[in-house]
Amino acid sequence: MPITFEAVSHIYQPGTPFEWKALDDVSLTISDGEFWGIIGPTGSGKSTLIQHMNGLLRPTSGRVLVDGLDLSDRKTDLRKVRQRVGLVFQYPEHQLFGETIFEDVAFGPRNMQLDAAEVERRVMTALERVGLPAEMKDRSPFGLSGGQARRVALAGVLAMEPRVLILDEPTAGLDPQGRREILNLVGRFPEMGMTVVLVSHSMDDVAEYADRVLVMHRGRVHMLGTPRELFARRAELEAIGLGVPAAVVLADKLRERGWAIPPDVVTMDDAVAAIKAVLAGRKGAERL
Amino acid sequence: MSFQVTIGQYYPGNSILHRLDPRVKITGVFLLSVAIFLPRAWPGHVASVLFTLAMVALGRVPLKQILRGLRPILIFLVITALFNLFLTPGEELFRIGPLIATREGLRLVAVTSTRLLLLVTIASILTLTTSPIRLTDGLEMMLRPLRPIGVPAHELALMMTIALRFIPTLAEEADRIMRAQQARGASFATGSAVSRVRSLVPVLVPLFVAAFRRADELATAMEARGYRGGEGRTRMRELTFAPRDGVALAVLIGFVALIVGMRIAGVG
Repeated sequence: MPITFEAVSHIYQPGTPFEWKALDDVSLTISDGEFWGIIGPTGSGKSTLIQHMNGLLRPTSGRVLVDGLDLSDRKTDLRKVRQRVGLVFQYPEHQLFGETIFEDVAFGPRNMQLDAAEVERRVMTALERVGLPAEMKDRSPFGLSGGQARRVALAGVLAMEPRVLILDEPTAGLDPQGRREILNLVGRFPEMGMTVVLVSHSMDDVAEYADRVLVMHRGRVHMLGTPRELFARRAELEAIGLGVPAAVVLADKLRERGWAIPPDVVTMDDAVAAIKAVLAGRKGAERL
Repeated sequence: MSFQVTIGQYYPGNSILHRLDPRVKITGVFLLSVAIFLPRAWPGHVASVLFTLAMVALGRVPLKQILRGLRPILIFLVITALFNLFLTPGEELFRIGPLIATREGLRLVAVTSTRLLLLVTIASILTLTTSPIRLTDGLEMMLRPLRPIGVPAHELALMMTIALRFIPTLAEEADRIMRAQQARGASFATGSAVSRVRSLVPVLVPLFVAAFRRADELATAMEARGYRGGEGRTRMRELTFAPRDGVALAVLIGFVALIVGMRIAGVG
């Protein structure tokens, strides 16, 4: 179910002194099975953008189409759309409320009017997917560690079995281990057949997982392309206060010193492979 | 669904009322609240209304803001008016079935409604022209003399300040939580009254958790910066009693004297 933005603009509090144009003429199409990374400085419109994808916000002008349905159309059933486009907000563990982990994760499926057996199946599947043991289901969601609480919150959205999953800064505020765990999990969502939209500040995360990267700046689509295309334009990214992944920085430095690093190094794995190739080449040269 | 909160309904401005010392304004509200209940005849009521209208004009707050403040008491006003109109014994005006409206009842309605509207308007002028910080500063200074008998003046003022400060924060938090639950299929606007109240549980529980978390963080942050109560604490903006405050106080006392005088003389 593709998501299409047609010249979407969004203005907060129009006609007041607080008027703020958060989105300005945004057009894009997210196709099935893609993994999108969205980056941009604070206030660039990332959060506003993703809230348009499941109809939590309506465009001031322009149209958002999900699977061909216009989200501004009053006849469109937004609850149905939200079941298929799952949205995980920043710090999702702050929205936990259930007495038990099971009850909390079951909230979404129950809102879909599924029968008890199906609710249970979905909850247990979701818990398994986020790597929480089934025995934990009767524990309170409060008092879990940060990483665990976030996984419960993620399971709450996964249990609705959405086709598209949007995550807003899913690793914010976690320790390095929690970060790794969540990112590994996010990296596996495409295999589960989901289209993924990952909003992040971290270039490294986006470089590693996304196959299309959208750079937002002042509410506009600033750049859009594959990670390789984008990170080749390092100066433009740095001009709006964004960096490039550590691997790209490393590759640039090595090139300055005359190393033959290919231009498409984006992730750490790429960098390791390129450096190994150069070193192997040197050894070969010594032997000759 | 979005919250629009105006805190303590303060309307920024630079009128003479905005610049007055908050202690004078608080005293004024007390004096006027008593004064509007003193008159017994119409000249006194007219004087009260005129004085209040003069205050509204001096505050340079749009009339729309004042009327917005009156809206919540409207239902209360209508119900008391109906009771007064039909339940006061006296000369019959008209009747609806077994209910008899009386001339005395009508008079009572006019008087009580006027007093109530004036009371709320006067209180609104105070909160519209005084920022919450100046209001709590003023209250703290006025309560300070009561400390020897155990009134925790500083703590009360601090609690008020913090409560006001956190209303927008919690409103934002509530908005965020509601969106997150809507993303999980919750709906807040449909269904019966019972199901609507039930649908608030997924919002209220996280909201309370957030409130406690914020309170805890705030307490830690205050202690980390050496906060240890009001003892020996200085303030960034000292309240000073300017000549205009003296004039304002004199005008207020003059008005109360006028009302009292009219009542004693039997004309108001």
